[in-house]
Amino acid sequence: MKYFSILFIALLFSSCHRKGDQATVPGSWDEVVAAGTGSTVRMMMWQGDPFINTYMQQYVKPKLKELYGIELEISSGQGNMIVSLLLSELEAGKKQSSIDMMWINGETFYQLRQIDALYGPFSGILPNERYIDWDNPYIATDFQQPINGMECPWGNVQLSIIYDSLRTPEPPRTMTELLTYVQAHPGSFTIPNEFTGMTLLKSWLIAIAGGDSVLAGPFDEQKYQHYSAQLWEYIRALQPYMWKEGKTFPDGPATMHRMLANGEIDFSMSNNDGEVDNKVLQGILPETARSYVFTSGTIRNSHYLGLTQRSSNLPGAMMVINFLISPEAQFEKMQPAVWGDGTVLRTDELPDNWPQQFREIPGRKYAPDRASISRYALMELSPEYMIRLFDDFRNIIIEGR
Amino acid sequence: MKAGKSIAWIVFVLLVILPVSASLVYAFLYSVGLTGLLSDGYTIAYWQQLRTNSPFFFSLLYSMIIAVISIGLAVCIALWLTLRYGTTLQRRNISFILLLPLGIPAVVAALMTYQLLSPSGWLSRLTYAVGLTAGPDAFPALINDRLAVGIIITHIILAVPYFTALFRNIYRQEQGDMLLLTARNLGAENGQASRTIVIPLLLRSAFPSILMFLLFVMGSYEIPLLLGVSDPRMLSPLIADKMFRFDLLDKPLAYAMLVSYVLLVLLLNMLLLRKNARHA
Repeated sequence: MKYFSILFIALLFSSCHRKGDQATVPGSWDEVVAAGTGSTVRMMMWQGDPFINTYMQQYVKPKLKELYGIELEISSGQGNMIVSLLLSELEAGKKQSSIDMMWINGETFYQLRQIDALYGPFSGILPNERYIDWDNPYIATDFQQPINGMECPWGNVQLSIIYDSLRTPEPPRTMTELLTYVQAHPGSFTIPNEFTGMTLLKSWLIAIAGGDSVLAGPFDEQKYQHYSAQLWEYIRALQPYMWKEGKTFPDGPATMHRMLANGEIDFSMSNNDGEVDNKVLQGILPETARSYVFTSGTIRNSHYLGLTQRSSNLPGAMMVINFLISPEAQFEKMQPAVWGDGTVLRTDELPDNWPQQFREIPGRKYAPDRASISRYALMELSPEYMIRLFDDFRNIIIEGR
Repeated sequence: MKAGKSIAWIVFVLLVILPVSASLVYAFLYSVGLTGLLSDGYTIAYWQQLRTNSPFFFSLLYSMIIAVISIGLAVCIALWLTLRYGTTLQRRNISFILLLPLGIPAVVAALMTYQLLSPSGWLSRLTYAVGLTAGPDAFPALINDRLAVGIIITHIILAVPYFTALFRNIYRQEQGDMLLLTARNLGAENGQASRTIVIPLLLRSAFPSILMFLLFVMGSYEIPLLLGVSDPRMLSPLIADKMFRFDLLDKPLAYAMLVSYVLLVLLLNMLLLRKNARHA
């Protein structure tokens, strides 16, 4: 029994974390290419969309193999899973992470910075970084945090509302119109109780506050209390007329798309303004589906690629990211029939005939033109707003405390 | 024989006791701030929060009620099937059909229930087709409802085959037919013999399994995640939510919930199984 006790204590304390095992990377891009060519790179990303998976599996992977001999291994996992995995690895004192790079957004970026799990700054070393539209605040700032080279922009999207134009020819375009609509059509509207839903709440919070400049900068408790009180008042007015009388909320946009297609609700939503084209082409939504944004604005944000601090193959992962932000890969990704994701490049200043090629990308069929919704774009707020809204949405609206 | 017993004991300790205890101690240390990357040192704040300001105890009660109703109904159905069709159930092809649902993963069972009972599901379409309902909105809420009808039905579907197979085996081993025949020969009526002899015998022999299944339902994750409501939540979705959502500072609270739940389950297990062993 004594030996078991010793083994038990040894096991327990072997899990204590150690900080500061920073990965090393060659100094110049030539050295990066020399070290990364022919290597294997492990990437973790959300794999919930067949179009995105096809883009990665049938375009990115073969291209990387062909151009650099890189084998890209993709594993499934989104924000919270990535944070959980890297947190556990750091707490266990693991010297080499099981992933080299990952697809993240502002909320995950904030959490990964909290636990010091990201390698960087690194984006400055990537040759294709010079094409990124750094003057665009929706790209250079992530949830009010300057990215400072700790992640590399990959795509740019705006929250949009999806509806069936056959059933709802004139969708509500303001918060007041939405309330009137929902009162006349009980059960037709709901909010997903996750990232997309919280992004909608943030958009409404900004609208109530009178514009994104009011809530810009670090989290402000006083402002939050003041404006969120009005937001909850509005949602309480909506609540009895929401799906299931606002007593329960769907777990995400995928469920809402299905409910919209089934006729259970009249509105779904997505953080990707091109999602409606994507879902119609997949046969999930009918061809009469369309999307729009509220005239009070919706949040526009970027999604990014990050490197794990304890990656065992930083050069290879950097080469993958450099390829993913190349004009060629961004052009392919932007095609509505491929993914329909907005580019992060300054397309007018690209070399060769790329500017023309980007201009000639076939327009979206079901989603509004990107330029037409850009004027309603709102900046992301500091991450604490999201955390507070998520908690208060549960406490005040779901649990009615 | 003695050496074999020692090896079995060592394997049990290494594979079961040690990892479970280590996880539990680690979770406890995390919950009091003694480990964890974002820990600021020892604190009992999370345990105070658990006691005063968290939905843990309500979720625990909600999970218990769902488990008791699900398993209670499943046991009643399985008992009825065993007593009513005892001989038929022993046929090989019936056995196979009976055991088939045991291999269905919980998530598949939940999706099947969803297809069947959701407002746009088969039953709703059927009631619409025959004019009983006016559309998806008019169909009663059986999925994502506070009374957890969908969750309970799914657990019953998964549990009935298991308990029927279990009761059938006990019935055969204890020679239920003979016991009933003897009772009848001694003057007992059909129902009386079942109620006073066979049912208590089956329940007592199956008690540990019933208890285990009850705890399994209490801790189920996929089924309440897909078929439950946002409030109240069963324990596993609640803990997973605290563990993996946006706020990393909620993690110690999730560990406090986890430790409380595991200790409660172990305590319940020990008390009930010891009581059962005394009566066996």
